[in-house]
Amino acid sequence: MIRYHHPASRIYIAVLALVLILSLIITGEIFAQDSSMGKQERTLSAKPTRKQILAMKFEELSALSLEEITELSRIVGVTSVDELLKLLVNTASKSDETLNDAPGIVSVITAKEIALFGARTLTDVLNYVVSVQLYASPLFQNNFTMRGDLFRSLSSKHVLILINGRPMRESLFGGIYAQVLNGFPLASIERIEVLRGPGSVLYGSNAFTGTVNIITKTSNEASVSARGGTFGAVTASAEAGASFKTPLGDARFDAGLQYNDLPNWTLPFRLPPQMGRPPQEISYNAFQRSLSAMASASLGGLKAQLFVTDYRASTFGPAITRPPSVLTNFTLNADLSYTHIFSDALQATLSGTLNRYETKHVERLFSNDGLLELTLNYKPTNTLNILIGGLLHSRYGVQTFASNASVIVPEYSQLWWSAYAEVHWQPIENLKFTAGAQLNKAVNIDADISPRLAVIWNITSEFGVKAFYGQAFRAAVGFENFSINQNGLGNPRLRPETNESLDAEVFWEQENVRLAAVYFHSWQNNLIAPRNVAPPGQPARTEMQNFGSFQLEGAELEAKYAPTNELYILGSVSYQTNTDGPTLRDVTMMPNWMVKVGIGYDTKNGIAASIFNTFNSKPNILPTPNGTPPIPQINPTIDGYNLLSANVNIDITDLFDIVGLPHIIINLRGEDILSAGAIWMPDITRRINSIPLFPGRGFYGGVSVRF
Amino acid sequence: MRQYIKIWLVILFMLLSGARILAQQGLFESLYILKMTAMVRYPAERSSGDYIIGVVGSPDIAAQLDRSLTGKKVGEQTIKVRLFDEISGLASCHIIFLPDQYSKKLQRVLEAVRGKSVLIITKGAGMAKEGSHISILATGEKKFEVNKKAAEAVGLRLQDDLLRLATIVEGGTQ
Repeated sequence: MIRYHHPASRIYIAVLALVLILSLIITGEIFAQDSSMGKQERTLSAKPTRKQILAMKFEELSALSLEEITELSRIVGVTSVDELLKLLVNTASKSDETLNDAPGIVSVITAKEIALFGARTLTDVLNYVVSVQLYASPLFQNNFTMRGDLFRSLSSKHVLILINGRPMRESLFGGIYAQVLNGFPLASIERIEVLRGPGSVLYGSNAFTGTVNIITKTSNEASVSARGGTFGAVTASAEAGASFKTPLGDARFDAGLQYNDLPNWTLPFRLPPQMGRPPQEISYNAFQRSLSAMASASLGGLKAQLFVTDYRASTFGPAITRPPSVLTNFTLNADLSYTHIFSDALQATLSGTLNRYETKHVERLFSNDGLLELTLNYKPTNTLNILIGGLLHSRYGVQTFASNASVIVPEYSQLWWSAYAEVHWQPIENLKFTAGAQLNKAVNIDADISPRLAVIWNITSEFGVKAFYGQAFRAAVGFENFSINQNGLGNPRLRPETNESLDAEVFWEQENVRLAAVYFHSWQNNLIAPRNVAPPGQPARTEMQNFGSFQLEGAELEAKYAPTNELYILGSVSYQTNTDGPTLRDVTMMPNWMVKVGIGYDTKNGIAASIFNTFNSKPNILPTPNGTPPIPQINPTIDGYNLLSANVNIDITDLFDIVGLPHIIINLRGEDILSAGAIWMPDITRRINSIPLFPGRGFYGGVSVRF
Repeated sequence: MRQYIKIWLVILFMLLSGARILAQQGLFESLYILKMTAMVRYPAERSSGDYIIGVVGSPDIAAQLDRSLTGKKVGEQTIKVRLFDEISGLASCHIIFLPDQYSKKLQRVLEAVRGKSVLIITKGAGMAKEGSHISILATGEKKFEVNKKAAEAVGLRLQDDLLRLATIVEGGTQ
């Protein structure tokens, strides 16, 4: 008893009581926190991760409001099938429609595929598309073509790039896309639609063998990323978007920025012998660097967009005759469009587009192309859709030597016009006809018409066929019209090159698979090239003329397949052969066969891995004609090649179920894994046997944060 | 080369072996449709009997909706999910869900239920302009397109909570 009253005991009891009270308080707080956390999870007041959402039971989800469910669906993302296969496209007709309804052979690469397969540049993205071939020329390191169509072109003249449907048009040289392929901010891309075959009825010149439409994102998310690796490569990008209300209506703004640098790709290269000088071995630094921005804004029916890029790369110039120098390019593509909806049946869009290109190497090329286009879309009934458009094209350009400003192409300023109409008629539910034509008028030559016809028959909801007849054209560019260079004098009366094409497609689509097989045959005429002429009474000279013709034929098989929600397969096989006469086949030095297979696996728990391989068969190398010197075989010989890449994305936030943090994604990537050294391709100017195309094996790593 | 042909043949075999859709795919469609049952008011004559949700064409999505929704209540009515391979019989439904691969049938569906108080839900941009009442969008800031006029024309009243989340469009046969 005494002990109970002992002061020490009191202290002991007091301490025990204090400890107990403190424990209760702390425990109570812990319980309170637990309770609060439990409540938080149940009410989803914090933003849950994708993994947590997918782990929730239907009953839990159905207790949420519709608004909360829509938010959760954005976190989860739509299913692979929805996102990868069930898309609306608009390049083939300037109207939203499914791939099966589109009056054109269309392939799509989505932002999801770009992320899954880990592309670093637009070149990588285009490499995923069936029949798209990447190539280097002595002048530009990055070019692309389709279906093996590459006829004496240093640039991508037979394809057209659109940004949200608006053309990138360059009227002096034509097809300068190296800066776009290297620099376009990938984080701004929602999807890329690739239309194979003629597209001139709606898009005019250069939509010849194919059209690439870059559709940019509208998203309230933001992201920043940085990657680095072999060859000193650095890529950094940022992207953000927001919508807001203004007194004039709903508005939104999106912008993306990308910096690419490949400074240290250096390899031995032998310059061809020239004027008695033997082949000279040099250390060639094939560097490329670009800083690009893409921005778009909208307010009601008004839309504005801007793409600018500042590009710098090594170049051999138009011919490999001297050591490499530096090529710079500044490109600006700006568009302002207004769409007015008169009624459910009628809407009109007026677009003004400015294209400004400045390219410098040994020469300086400057062009300024303005386009003013009015498009009317009239849908009098549910079965009929009529598109009518008119375009004014202002062309300005000049080309000089950079060192002394002596003129190569004198300043020119012209106004061309064109008009087009296209009718889409769906007399019964599963049958659709398209007929259209473009009338275009260039200065100095007669007006020219490019028509097209299409029929689409969805035989069942899963299976259908498409057949097309179409023509496309490529108008002569400034240096072909006006050059005073003795190696190829300009000719103002050049007619457009023409491409007449037959295409047929069979497609089969189920909920998680799409398979399409295509046959194509095209006849190209009036091709423009320098030719030795000796008119009566005049001295012999080399002049640009329409004289070439050419045929392309081939088949394409393309598949997208999502066997499970985690596994995704993208694949294609294409074959092309071409001829410019009765005896010469495969004259374009492009591979006959291409096989592209990508397999991606997304665990949905934060880890996604993929591999992608492109196989290009060995291109045919034509013998040199009798009497001309053989092509010097002094650089590596040409062979078929594989381009294998592997990519892993680890979303730390999803992987460890971290709530309340932005998504932090680690990226690891290997490129050209099978190639110890560079990959070479034939020099299309035939001054040397080969030039480098891809740098070879490289490993890259980086981090991106998505807010 | 042969190796690549073999790889391609394997892929083709996988393609042709048929594909199974995941249960997860229809999860959000089921949730949207369930929530929408509480956001639409029907005329009094449609407030008795079972609450029928019809799915056109896709057995996989119908099965998913059946698993998720059958037996649940809308007021006093019990939800039943039915699959329709043909257009006939659709007028008995309270909701018709037209999956995107069957979107071409929209005009026939509209014709089959003309004047009836049936909520038509589709997937994809532009479908509400064609006459469906609600279309679920895969991407974009707004998750739905709603054709309020078309719904009101057949006696359906859509709640503001739904309209707030949607882009309101017009068009189609009303």
